[in-house]
Amino acid sequence: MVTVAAPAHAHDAPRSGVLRWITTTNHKDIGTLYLLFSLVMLFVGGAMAMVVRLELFKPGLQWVSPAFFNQMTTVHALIMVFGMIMPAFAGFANWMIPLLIGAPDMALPRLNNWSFWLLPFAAALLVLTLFLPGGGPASGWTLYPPLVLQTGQAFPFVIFAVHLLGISSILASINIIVTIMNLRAPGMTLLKMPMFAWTWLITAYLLIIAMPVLAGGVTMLLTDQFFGTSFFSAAGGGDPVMFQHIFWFFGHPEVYIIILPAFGIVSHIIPTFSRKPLFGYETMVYATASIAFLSMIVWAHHMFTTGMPLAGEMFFMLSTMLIAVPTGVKIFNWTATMWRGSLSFETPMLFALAFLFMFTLGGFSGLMLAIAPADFQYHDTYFVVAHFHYVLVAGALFAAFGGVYFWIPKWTGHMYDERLGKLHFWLTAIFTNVTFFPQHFLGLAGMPRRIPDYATQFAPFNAMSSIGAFGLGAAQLIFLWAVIKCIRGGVSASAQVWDGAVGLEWTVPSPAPRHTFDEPPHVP
Amino acid sequence: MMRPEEHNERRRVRARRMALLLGVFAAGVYLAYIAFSLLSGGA
Repeated sequence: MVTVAAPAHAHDAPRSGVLRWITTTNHKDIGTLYLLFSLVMLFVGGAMAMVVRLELFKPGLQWVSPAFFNQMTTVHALIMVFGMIMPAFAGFANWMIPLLIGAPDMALPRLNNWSFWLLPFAAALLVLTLFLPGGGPASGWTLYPPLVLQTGQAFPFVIFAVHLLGISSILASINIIVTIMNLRAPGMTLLKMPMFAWTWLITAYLLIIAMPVLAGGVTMLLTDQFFGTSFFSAAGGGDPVMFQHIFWFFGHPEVYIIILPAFGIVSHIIPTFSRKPLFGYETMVYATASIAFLSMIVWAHHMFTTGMPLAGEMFFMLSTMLIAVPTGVKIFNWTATMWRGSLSFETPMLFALAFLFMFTLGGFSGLMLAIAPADFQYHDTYFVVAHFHYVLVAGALFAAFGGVYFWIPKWTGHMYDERLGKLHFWLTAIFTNVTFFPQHFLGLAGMPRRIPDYATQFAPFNAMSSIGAFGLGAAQLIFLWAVIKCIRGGVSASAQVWDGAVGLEWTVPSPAPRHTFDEPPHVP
Repeated sequence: MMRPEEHNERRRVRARRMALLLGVFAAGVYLAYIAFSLLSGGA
């Protein structure tokens, strides 16, 4: 049979209006959709965080009922993890991976469209559960049984939303893997590939291994609730602790699924603004792969207090500490990249530097939590809340902000307003620390997480944390303003944008035309 | 020498096969976890 190859984009002229966005198979359009969706979710999830911090501003119950408070903490977490930060990095992947590797588009463009359009429906389903009788889920994002089985009518909707979010992530991951493995420009061997593509390749494999495990876990919750099984019910011969194992077998790799693409972005920003190649490229790749492997054998450090054999505690404690080694390699390499570099401090570099300091701080508190006997003291306190917000906000979100400022000239063809960018950076960096640093002290003093009221000795640090959170929330309006302003106009960006920028994405004009690399470039 | 469009099409076909395999793998992990939980005395 003779196959006639049609031109790659013969059918792909942009439609006008809403139809363009619904039917698009163009990686740049879909990247934009992901990023805009994630921006909306940042404010939806952020608003829920404001409710939480408002209630915790002073002791006693002032604004919301304890049940609604728990729904806010739960839905805030689910939205931020599945609706905001993961789609943000999927947006970066869609926009940048084909440009970074010299591919004409993602390998499976229709699947790409489907991956995105599952998201708004899943997120809407999740948020709308708040309006059902009994309210939304209130068990924390970990959805532990038997507590989660007490959710009202929202329960099946939450399970369905989590399934949809998982399917969307798995499809996006499959697309990213096959794009990177099949559509790299001639001459671009794996070890010549830009770091962001590497980190996403490894992340995508992690997602394909971890996400079905969560899906399996929540499916079993569903059958326990509605179909008479007792996977997690001791009364029927099951075990609720088994859910914790299943959840964290997904949940710990999930942390790295979120942070590895952030590492990738920082690995582009620091060399560009240091005007030097990345120090130790190959060790960066191997460190990323090592972190991914280790992330899959440490899950039970979240469960020290459930009780486990001493050998188990030792294994999970030491394997967790081992992650500090490849992570330390990365921190060292970023620092060494800057050593004797010709540094300049535009907004993306400021975010990358803040990432470096504050992510490392979050990493250190993670090491403290890894120590099994100490974890008995820290477990389920605000110390844990402080730790993971340093990693996820000052780590992942700061890298995402840096990435937006770094690549937005390529996306829009305009330079962003540097003054606004710097204002956004400084307010965000200061208020992030005002919000989350006092939470370390609260946790060490024994304040439990997920409570709407607390003893009066915790009042000053809570007030400080709440003021920080309101400032942090308000600072994001500046980000919104900076992004809208950049989309609407500004100084025209050149193709290279930054004078230290190296890579295929900087060889195409700004804004990147709708179709790029129809004929693959040759990488020497 | 293959034309670029033909080259791209070949790569896309290979990509589709690989995607199918990865999809089957993901579905396998999902079912394996439920099966494992069934065998370990749940349900």
